[in-house]
Amino acid sequence: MTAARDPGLNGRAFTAAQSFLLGSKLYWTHSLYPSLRKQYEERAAKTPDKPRTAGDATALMENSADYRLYAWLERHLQRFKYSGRYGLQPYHAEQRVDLERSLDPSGLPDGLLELNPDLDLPSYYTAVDIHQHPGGVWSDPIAGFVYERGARSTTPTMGARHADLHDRLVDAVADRMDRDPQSILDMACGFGKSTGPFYERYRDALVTGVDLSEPCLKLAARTAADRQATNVRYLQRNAYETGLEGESFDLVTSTMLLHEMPPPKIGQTFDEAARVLKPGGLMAHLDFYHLPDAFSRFIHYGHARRNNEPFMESLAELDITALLESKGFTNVKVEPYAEADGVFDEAYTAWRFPWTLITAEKAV
Amino acid sequence: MSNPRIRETSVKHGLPARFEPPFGPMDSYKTVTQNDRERRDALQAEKRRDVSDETQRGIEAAGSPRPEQTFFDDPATDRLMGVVWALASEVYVLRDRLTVLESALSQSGHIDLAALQTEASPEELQAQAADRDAFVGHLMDNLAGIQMSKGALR
Repeated sequence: MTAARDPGLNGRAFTAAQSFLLGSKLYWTHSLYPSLRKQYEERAAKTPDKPRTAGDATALMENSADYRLYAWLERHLQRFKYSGRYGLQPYHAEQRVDLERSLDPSGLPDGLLELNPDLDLPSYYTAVDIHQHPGGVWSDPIAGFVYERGARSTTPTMGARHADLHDRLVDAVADRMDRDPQSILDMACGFGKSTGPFYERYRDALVTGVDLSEPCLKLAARTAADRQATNVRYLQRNAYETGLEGESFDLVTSTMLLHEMPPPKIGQTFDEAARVLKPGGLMAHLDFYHLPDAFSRFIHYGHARRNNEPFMESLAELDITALLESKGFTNVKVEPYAEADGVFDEAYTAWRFPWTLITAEKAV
Repeated sequence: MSNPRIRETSVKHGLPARFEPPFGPMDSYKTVTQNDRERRDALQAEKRRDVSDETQRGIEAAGSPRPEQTFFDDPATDRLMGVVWALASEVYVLRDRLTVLESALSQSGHIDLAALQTEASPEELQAQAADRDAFVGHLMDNLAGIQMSKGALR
């Protein structure tokens, strides 16, 4: 269907509206969330039994006007960000012809991008539009651009003064390795934001990114070509069935993959990582897991519902350490992860994702 | 404005006991089937006129009915919040555009920016009072629930 062009949708209006939404989200992050937490603590202090589960916290808070407004804003600020008149999707759709043309892979270096039009996409991947991204991150040829622009303000607590989340992951992984990896697999690499810091830091390594989304992989490859990277390749493959050679990688990583998968597929993904890792190789997943109390679970599970993330809760309820050890991994570490400076400080009260770094080694 | 496809159920406060994915039990996985594709094609072929083009695209992208998430006791409150936020977005877009215009006009010497930012004089305020009162009346008369045409007796 070709819709009539919106005469009020232009670059200036788009950035103004998105700036307004970001400002609203920052207020939500730095003001509404801390006051909600305070209200919860006051209510919890008055109950004879300390809340232990997300359900206990829900019972305390579900009738709070503050919580309802908080919840409404969480869902609908994201909806406005992606959809509606000044949303990411319609804005990029207005530029569709140019954007699609810019992704033409014919000019890419040989081997940089391998697509597989026959790849079956799992139903759990296609059934829900994660992040409220209309059509998901896979169905529209311009989905990679929409996702990339949206990701710039996914974590509004992060400012320019902080090293980016992904750069920090490279540092954290480097601390856990005895020597520089020569071969790296980035599972669910998306548009390459997580892959870039690895191929730029480890110039002598071959970095392989796999993902299900053709639009995202095309953007990842174009970005790598623009950066003149020669040590990366992007393949359209499933993380738990990569088809890559066994025992061929020193390092397997993912960022925000596990919470997008049903638990059985997480197990298969760990199996696949174990298969492709060399003995002694390291696996590192950056995801949302560390939820130390009932309130944080209540907030996170509500976020999952409100942001179209059906598997956040099942990941958070999984015993990751036991699962990894059952699959033969050693030196398993599941640790809270600081995505920015100061987030572990007592004075830091703003909302944030429960970032967690999960690492394990393949037994020698 | 009725659109049963997006309003057939509500999830109170956006917090069911557990978010059940819309494609069956958690242990049931299949790939995209021909039926899924046919369903999406059928939705795309069906032109609906009761919502804006952008909302129509959203419905097509979703591809199947999904419950509306509501957070307040009356779903109308949820929807009115959306109206308020859409209007607030438009106000901010207008403010931004006005700032750009003022800056350009000031730089070209057509307006005195400082004059735009000083307090209005009592005379100016008095001159605008009738317009102000008409604006306020238009807004606040709604609170009275006054009917403006003869309708049914009961």
